[in-house]
Amino acid sequence: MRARGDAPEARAALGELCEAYWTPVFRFLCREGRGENESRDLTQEFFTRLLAGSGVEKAEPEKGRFRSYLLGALKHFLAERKRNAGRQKRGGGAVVESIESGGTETSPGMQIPDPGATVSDAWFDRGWALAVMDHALTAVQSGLEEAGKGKQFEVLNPWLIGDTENLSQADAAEELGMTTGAVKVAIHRLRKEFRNAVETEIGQTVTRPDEIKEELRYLIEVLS
Amino acid sequence: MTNPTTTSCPKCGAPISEDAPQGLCPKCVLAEASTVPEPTSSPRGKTPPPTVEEVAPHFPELEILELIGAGGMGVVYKARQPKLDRLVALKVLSHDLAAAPAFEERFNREARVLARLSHPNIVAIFDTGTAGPHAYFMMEYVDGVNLRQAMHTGGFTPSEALALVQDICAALKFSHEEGILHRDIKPENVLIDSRGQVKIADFGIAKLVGQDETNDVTLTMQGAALGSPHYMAPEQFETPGDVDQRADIYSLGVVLYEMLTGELPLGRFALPSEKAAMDARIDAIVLRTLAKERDARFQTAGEVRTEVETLTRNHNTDKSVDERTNLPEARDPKSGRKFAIAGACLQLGAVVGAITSVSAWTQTMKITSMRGAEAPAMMAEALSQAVLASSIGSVLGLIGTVLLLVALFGQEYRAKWFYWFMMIYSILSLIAFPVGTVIGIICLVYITKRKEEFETN
Repeated sequence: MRARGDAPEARAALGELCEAYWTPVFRFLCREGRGENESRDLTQEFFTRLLAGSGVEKAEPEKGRFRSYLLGALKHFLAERKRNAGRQKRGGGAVVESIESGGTETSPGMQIPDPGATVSDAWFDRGWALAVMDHALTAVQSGLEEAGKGKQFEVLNPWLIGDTENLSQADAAEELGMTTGAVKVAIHRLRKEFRNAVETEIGQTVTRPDEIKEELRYLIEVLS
Repeated sequence: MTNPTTTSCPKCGAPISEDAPQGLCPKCVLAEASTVPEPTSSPRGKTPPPTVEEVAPHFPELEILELIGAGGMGVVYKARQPKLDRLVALKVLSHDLAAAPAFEERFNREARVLARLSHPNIVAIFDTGTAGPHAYFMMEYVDGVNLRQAMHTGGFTPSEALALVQDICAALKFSHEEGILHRDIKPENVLIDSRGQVKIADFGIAKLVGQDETNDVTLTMQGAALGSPHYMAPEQFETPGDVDQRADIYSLGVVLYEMLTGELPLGRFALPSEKAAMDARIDAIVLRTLAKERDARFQTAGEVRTEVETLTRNHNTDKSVDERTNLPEARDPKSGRKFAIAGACLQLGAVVGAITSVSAWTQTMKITSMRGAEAPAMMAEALSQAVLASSIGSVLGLIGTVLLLVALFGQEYRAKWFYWFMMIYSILSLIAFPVGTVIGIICLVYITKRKEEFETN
């Protein structure tokens, strides 16, 4: 994780990451019952404060994956907001416990989706998985487009789901004006590139390289 | 996207939510991304293959880029030759030169023969030599996958498999004519480059590495075990000293069987056409390549190629014979249209005939009530007109009906206009003729049941 520490480049890296994972946060807020506009403003405010390093001190990036960190920070941020709002309303005094301050305590060990967690937790992780997939796809796509193979990506990306008899390689070959042998090679290569892109993407959000596989497994599980 | 309207995953069948990136099933995509890629070949040696850093000092004229495969015979690296600015594959043989002093001389002799193999379907050898304790081959770098990896990418349809076999045969025919046996044909040695071109690698290397000139059976068996026993002809185990081109043909048969069925032909294996829908004549080819007795096999790679060519020419080998007779190609839509149009025109002629006939009859009826000298003559004329018109109309109608039936049932002509024409024709037939009742009912039932066929054409 480059996004560690207080060095300027670490801040910049954190900024990039936050930008990349804007959508899961936004969707999470929507899912909690807020309107789109409110969620958008809130997401903006959350990231602004996160990047400014205020109000989220309790969330430590070292304590787990960036995904857990961000969700923890978000919950902390929401709890604090609620507390402030309550204080203002009642003239202060009432201490409202942070709903789930344990969100950042997720151990870096084996993770399984917690059935006791709120629907929103799983929802956040699901959105996260989609964002990872989206970023990896975009990375592969732009790489191929630069190489003048945009059409190849367009026609062959259905094969990223794996092998199935319901997709015709012969049709794809015809569409691309390639032989079926060449299509097989291209699919093999596309999958390899996508696999690498997913690893790179997840690699940015975990602390150690050996956590990548585990995080990917978790994301697959959360999608089912 | 081949099918943008799909809302369920073609693989797992689960519905795809709207927020799924690029409309792909997120679960299947990430699950696929988490699979461990198929290794180029499995490292068998107990000692790990030398790393790029360990090999690089032996090849100052090359930039060793990465390790791309490791097998029983050696290790393959991808490298760049800066002088010619080209990529090469560097195969470092695991055979220890020091252990067999005569090896180097024999290696050099064999290498000269192998370097002669220049064919579009054979991986070219650029250079050979020794580096430290190891002999090496510098070869053409094939930017693609091997057949093993390709089989994991969706497998092959029978016609794709047969097309590949033709290319493999071309390479084998050429090398056999040059007097070189491959001896280790297996999916890992059959490469497909990014243009879909087949390239066979490692010609003759099995002999170099696995077999000593003394033809010591034990040693050879060790060599064989190092290679790929599943793809080896029976005589390669039984009489290793007496192996000819037919051994390569057997190995090719194993590869073909595996491409067709996804399995190895072990024991009493099932016929390929029993495992998947394909032309049963492929079975005959497979069985002849896999005959235990080499005399019963195809004798040359050229023979295999000719046989496969004959089979694939003009035939869709992906379907069984029963299915093939009903293939869309069997019907010619153009001749169907001709029959339909001719039939329709004749029917219109019949209608004109019928109208003429009816009017002539009406005339006759009028004349019957007339009196006068010319009445009988007029009546005869009108009557003959009516009869003529009705018989011409009937003949036209009959021929027309036959043509329409041919278009409908025989040629399975399916145009929208034809549907409506047959609809009107059937109804009119029902009203008009007692015979038409039967035809009308049959046609009506038939076309109503198959309305969608007309819609889609």
